[in-house]
Amino acid sequence: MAVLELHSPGAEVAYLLQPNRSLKSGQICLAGAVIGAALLGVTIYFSMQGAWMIIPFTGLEAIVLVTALYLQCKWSKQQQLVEIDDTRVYTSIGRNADERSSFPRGWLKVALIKAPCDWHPKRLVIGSHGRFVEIGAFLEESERERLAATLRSTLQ
Amino acid sequence: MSTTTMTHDEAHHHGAPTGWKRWLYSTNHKDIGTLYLLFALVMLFLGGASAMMIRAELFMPGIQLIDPDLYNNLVTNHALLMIFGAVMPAAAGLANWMIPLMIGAPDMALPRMNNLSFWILPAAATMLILSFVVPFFPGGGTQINTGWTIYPPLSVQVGMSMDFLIFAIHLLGVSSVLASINIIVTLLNMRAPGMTLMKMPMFCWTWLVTAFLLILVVPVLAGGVTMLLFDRHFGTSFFDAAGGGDPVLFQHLFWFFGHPEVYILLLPSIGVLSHVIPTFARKPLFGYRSMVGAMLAVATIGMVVWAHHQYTIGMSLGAVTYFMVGTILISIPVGLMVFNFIATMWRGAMTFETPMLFAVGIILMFTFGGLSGVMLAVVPADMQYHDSMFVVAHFHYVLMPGAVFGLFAGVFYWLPKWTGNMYDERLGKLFFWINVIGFNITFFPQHFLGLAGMPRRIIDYNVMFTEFNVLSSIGAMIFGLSHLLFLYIVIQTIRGGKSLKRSGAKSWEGAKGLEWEVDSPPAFHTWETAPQIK
Amino acid sequence: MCFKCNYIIKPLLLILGMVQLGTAHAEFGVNFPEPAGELAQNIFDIHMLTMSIATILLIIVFAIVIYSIYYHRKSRGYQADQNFHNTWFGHWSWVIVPVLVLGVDFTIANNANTVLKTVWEVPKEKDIMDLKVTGHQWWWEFDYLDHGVKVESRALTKEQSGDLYLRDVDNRLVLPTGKKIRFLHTSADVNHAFWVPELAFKKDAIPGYVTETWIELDREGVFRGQCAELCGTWHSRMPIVVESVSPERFAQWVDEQNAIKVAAAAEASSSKTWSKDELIAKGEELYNTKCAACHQITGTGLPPAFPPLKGSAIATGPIAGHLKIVLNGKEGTAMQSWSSLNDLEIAAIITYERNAWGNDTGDVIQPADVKSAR
Repeated sequence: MAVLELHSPGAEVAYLLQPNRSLKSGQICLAGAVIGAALLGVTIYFSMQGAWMIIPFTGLEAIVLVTALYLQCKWSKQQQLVEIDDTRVYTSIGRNADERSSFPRGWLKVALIKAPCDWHPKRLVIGSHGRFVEIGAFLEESERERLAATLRSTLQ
Repeated sequence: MSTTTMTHDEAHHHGAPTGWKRWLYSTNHKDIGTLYLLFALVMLFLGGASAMMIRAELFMPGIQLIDPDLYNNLVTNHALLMIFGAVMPAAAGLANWMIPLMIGAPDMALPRMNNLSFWILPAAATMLILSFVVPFFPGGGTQINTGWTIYPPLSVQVGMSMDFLIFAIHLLGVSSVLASINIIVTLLNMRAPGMTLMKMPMFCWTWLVTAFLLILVVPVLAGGVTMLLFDRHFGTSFFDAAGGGDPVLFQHLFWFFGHPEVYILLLPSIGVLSHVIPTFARKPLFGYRSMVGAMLAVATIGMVVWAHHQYTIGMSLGAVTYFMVGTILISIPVGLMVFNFIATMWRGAMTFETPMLFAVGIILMFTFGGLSGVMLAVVPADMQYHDSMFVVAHFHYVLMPGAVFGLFAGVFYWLPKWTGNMYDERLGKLFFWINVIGFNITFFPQHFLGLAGMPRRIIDYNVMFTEFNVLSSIGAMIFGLSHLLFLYIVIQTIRGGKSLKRSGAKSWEGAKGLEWEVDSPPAFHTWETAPQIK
Repeated sequence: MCFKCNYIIKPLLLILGMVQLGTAHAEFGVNFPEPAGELAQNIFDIHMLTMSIATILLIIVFAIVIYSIYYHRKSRGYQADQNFHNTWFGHWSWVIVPVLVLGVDFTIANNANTVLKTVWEVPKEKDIMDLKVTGHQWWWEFDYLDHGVKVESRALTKEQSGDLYLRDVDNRLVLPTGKKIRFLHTSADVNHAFWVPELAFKKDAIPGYVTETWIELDREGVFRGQCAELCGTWHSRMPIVVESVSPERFAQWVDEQNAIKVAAAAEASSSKTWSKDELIAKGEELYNTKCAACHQITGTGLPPAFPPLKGSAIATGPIAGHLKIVLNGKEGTAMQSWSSLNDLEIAAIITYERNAWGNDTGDVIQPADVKSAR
């Protein structure tokens, strides 16, 4: 679920932003376990043939694999919330709204900043009076553009 | 993921670095994919130059141009440059470019690791090239005269350049393992909502399997060459029969890596074909599910039949029977893949742009290489073919269409997407014909050479082998030089210009998939009403 | 000019010859040579079977693809059948195709398996003739275990062999027809592989391993092959020449070899003191066959792999050191132990090496010196 439109009480509209997350934690563990088991099988087979020197290599690799899965899982659990009511716009970042900011609705600017290189992703920032918050950095380019368009039309 | 509050000055200057730093520090999948592809192109020319040296030497009987050690050194380097330098990075480049676009992810899962896995490659290539040139310096020891298989005890005799080679292999291994882990994680967890595994584009599937294979086999090779290093310098005797070791163990370790490596080279190109053929036949891929199943079967069986590269080492009857039957069985899933491609073409409305020409060429020539592979799988007959020029012809027929032509097809197919310019179709077709004709003149006669009794990896041969070698060398020159045309087309397309058409988001009439919904090049156009913060 | 002529013009003429005149046809083969035994014939047959099956399948695939790219093209106005993959064929092809392929596979594997058993299992007969084949860098040693004969087989130079260069040797492997022969392959240094296409098998020679194959030759003739496993610098210069002869001729040949051996042994063990000139003459001949492949006839070697002997510290230093390296070889290099040579031969080689190419040490080594150094 990349961009979710919510209608929570107290706000005119709210957008929940989350990165793609196609597997549940359990499924990721399962995938890791399947790869790990295959790797273990290879390691045991060749160690028994006398090539025990592959153990450090498969071991290191398993560690990197698990770390990569863990880091990605952690990354994919982030979320951002943009709430819009009559006068103000609130952004809260993190599951527990760790960082909250609010801006006056009337002054709010929604900007897509171009990257120096054409094919680099643009960055979506909202804010006013010299204070800006970047949102949706983890979104895919077209989603970000759509979000920007949606925000602008909502704010009008 | 800068999520903190910032001032608008920060918003301006917190951008990506420019100039060379942009490439060195880049964590953008498109940048890194481009770097991979450029690196592969450079390596393709280095590997090709060494191949042309080999063929120039074999043009006539006698030793004319290079000495035997340099010849063997070139044979070694040609293989390593092509496999680790050209084909694998090119496939990784396609993966970096296309996988996030295809699955609707913003980037690869671990962008900084992605950067690392690319930037290890130039270091590894430097090591590899050093292993080639070090013997020419005083005190540099002997040249690597073992071939890429680096079998002990011969590889223990070689001078310090073998150590460079071992470290180069380690680095290349680290690079491809990191890239594989990144791709697996990306494909597992970053697919767009609604895209289940069985709806994933075929190219993603092929890379998922490829990455899985890489993860399983690369550490075995790394362990094997490390043991070789210990044998060379630290007095162990893993592979030294005189010290109670087993020289054949290395062959098992090497081919446990080496055989799945064939599928690692092959599968990404199969993935490319699964996109190219439906696009130009204007109908969906025939048998998506059986394609996925066949690929999983190839990977599984391919992992456990490695010893068919070593039929002549004197295994037990039971072992060779097992490896023979297993190897022959690979023809089932591979046959199914080829069948699915033909069935995709069948009753389509085909047009033959360059990618499609390559695709049809691949189907025909890869089938040929696959069938000679079944011949090689038969143990009694392999007693004859083994280590002859027949084998050289066979694996070039498999890997050149199966891997390299597939990558060419992919480059022509997606180049309009990457650059926003259509390549010159006439030149593309010209390149295809010169390339394919040159390829066939080069390698077809080598079948006959092998059957007539010419072993591979010899610098000098009896006059009875002259005719076909002359023919093969002439073909090799055509084949080799044709790649200059490829280089020209690529540069011309990147530079663009009035003579070239612009490409829209959808470069091909029949193209389907997420990657054709974003612009060409992706994220090129400015968002129309994008306000600037002043 | 000569280089140009040989390298550029000759091949072009050859190609012209192939294309237009067909004159060269007799010279180059396109398939395996005629097998020289039943076993080899079986292998040849299985090769022809799989090749025929492969050819037929290839023709079918080509035909279908060519038909399709001719008829199913947009330029002929063909409309793509968007539901082809939803027909019964589309639903069941994943079963049909593997079953068909499996049938082909089974035909091949079944035929191959029968041949494989006979190739792999050496007949357990008492009077089978044992032949030990040892690969060396870069020559072959054939040890007739039942006859006490040993043959060293080395490539001949271009001048000696003419058109058979790289396919001709000084001492052939003489084998009798009509007798089962067991080959035991091993290697003294790195991996080699014994391959004579007429005998139809190839087997690696691996140090520390003994691999076996067998054959019963059924026709006389001269069969040529080469080493097939990359074994270093002169891998291309390891030909094998098998001379298949009648059993009578073979027995005669064995007697001749034994007589030569007895004479050589008598000469070596005689307590005669050899003169310097005699030793140098003998040594030069031995050096040029056994040592010159690496150290070169001129004694300059091919550094860094093969060090020069001309002016080297070992060849001009203490005699004991020189004897030691020749008798024991040098670990980790291509220099092997030559202790299988007799005392006279080693004495002659060392005397030659210490006096040739300006290494004028004036040393004379007698067989007795070698004996005491062993």
